Amino acid sequence: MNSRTAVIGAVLVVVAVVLLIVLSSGGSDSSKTTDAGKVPTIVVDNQGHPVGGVQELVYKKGDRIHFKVKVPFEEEIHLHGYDVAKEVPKGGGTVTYDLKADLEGEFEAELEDRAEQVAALKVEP
Amino acid sequence: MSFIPFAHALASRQDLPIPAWLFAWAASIVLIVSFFALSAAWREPKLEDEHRRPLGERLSGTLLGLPLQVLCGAVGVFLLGVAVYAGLEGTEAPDRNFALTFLFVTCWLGFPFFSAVFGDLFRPFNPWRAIGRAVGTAFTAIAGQRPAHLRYPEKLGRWPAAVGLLGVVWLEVVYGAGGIGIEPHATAVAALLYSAYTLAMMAVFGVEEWCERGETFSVYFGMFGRLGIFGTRDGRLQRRRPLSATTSWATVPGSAAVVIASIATTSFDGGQEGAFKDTLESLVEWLADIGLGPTASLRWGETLLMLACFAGVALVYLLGVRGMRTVPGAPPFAKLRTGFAHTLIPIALAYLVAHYFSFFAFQEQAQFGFLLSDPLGTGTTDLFGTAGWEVDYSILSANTIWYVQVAALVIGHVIGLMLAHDRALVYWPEYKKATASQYWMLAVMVAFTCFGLYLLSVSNG
Repeated sequence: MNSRTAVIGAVLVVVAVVLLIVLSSGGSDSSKTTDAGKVPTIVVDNQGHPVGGVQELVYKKGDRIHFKVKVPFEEEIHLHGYDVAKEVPKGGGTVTYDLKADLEGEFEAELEDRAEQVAALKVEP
Repeated sequence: MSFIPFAHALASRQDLPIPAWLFAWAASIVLIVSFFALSAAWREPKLEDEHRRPLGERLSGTLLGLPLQVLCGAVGVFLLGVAVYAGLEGTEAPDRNFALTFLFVTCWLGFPFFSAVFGDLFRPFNPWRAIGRAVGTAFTAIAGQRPAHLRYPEKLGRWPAAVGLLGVVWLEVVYGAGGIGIEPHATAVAALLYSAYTLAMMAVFGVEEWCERGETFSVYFGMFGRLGIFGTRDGRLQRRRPLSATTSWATVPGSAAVVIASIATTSFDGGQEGAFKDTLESLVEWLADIGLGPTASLRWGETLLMLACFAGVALVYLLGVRGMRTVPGAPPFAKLRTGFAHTLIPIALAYLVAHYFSFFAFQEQAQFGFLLSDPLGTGTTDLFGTAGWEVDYSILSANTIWYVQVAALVIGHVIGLMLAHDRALVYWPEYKKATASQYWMLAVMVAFTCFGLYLLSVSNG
């Protein structure tokens, strides 16, 4: 190994160590799990958009997925992946999801007829 | 305005971003592996010779014989026909129609994945090649002479395939944006138009010539097939040293553009909901402000971003090549640009595996389950009794997916470095100069690998 290679190697190793320290320090806390004590409610406006944008709900595997969707018109709410659909009656109403988080990944809750996403559920290991 | 990426329109589940600690470990491993690759690499080229070993005559004769070729070609034509028919006559729900999953998942991802191990698997099943050869044979029988063809312009090389590759991804990812994704009917029409174009080009330039250089799918899948261990020569099936067939792939002009397009389009698709989302939204808003309609601004925005990805990947590669040019004894820039293009093939495959492996695993359950039994998605047929099957998303845990993604990128990185080092020894027989040239390619590989990790680590917004 010549001196130039050794210097480059040393630089790379230092960069690697710095990367490890910097990124690992904040790593596992990068997402916060949805507070199990509160039931988040997603409110959909008259135009069919979620008020405040698409909400991100984060759960750990094994938790209860628990949230409500309030819609002012007749619709079908579909939680993809878990494949749970709930009907909002004519004139609007609120539907409640309460099920075990047993599939890992990111899943979409959407207004099925309008293909409008209202929430992103993340189930982490 | 919502973005509906293609994978999103089909699968009900998306991958979680890789956690920061895994990103850090993977990036660190990449850097340390790169250092060892620099210091402990071999001193003579090992991959320029394919070390071919012919397989048994009987096995080779059976696998390459006319009956099996006709059968495979017929299967390819039949399945393309089913996909087109399903697209034209079936449901417009993307996830319930055979056409989309078959064309954009089973074929578009399956052939690269399996060809990278076994060699080019698309060639025997290529429906256009099968039709072209059948028509050519019939013409020869009737006219008493082989069909005449124009000479293929050498400079055109694989550029038609590179443009076609961008076109396929544009159709898949961009065209359907703003709606529910690309519709089965539009896909079927595109398949018919592409078939007409391909058959016309085969008539003009010859079947094998067009497949080797211009036909998008043959070139794209064949590129990954060069990584595999089986190939044919002189009508005989042969086993070859892994990776060695890549070294002769990029001699045709435009090859670098093909592999760059592959990396760029995967990056674009992987980043449009995550790393590029804010940029894309700003771009779309600006286009809407200057007067484009909602769908047009979305399509133009995505088109520009996809082209920017292509330009960005090309720029990184060309900077690496430009850097190598500074090493004493370097060949001309054009020769270096062509000579190292094959080193990006493992990176392109790694990107594909990292971004689509879980999608492929989930969607193939649909392909061989309900889509096979009910190809039109009308709910009225159940050909094999599997129409009621659903996708089981529990077969892969998030941890498994993360480790496969990271492993793919790290392995792709190592193989890319190996190929680059081997080629450097050809251009710079003096070991020290070869190693010096590889600082540049190492920087290119580290850039691509860390960028790939970054794309995987950014949350889908």
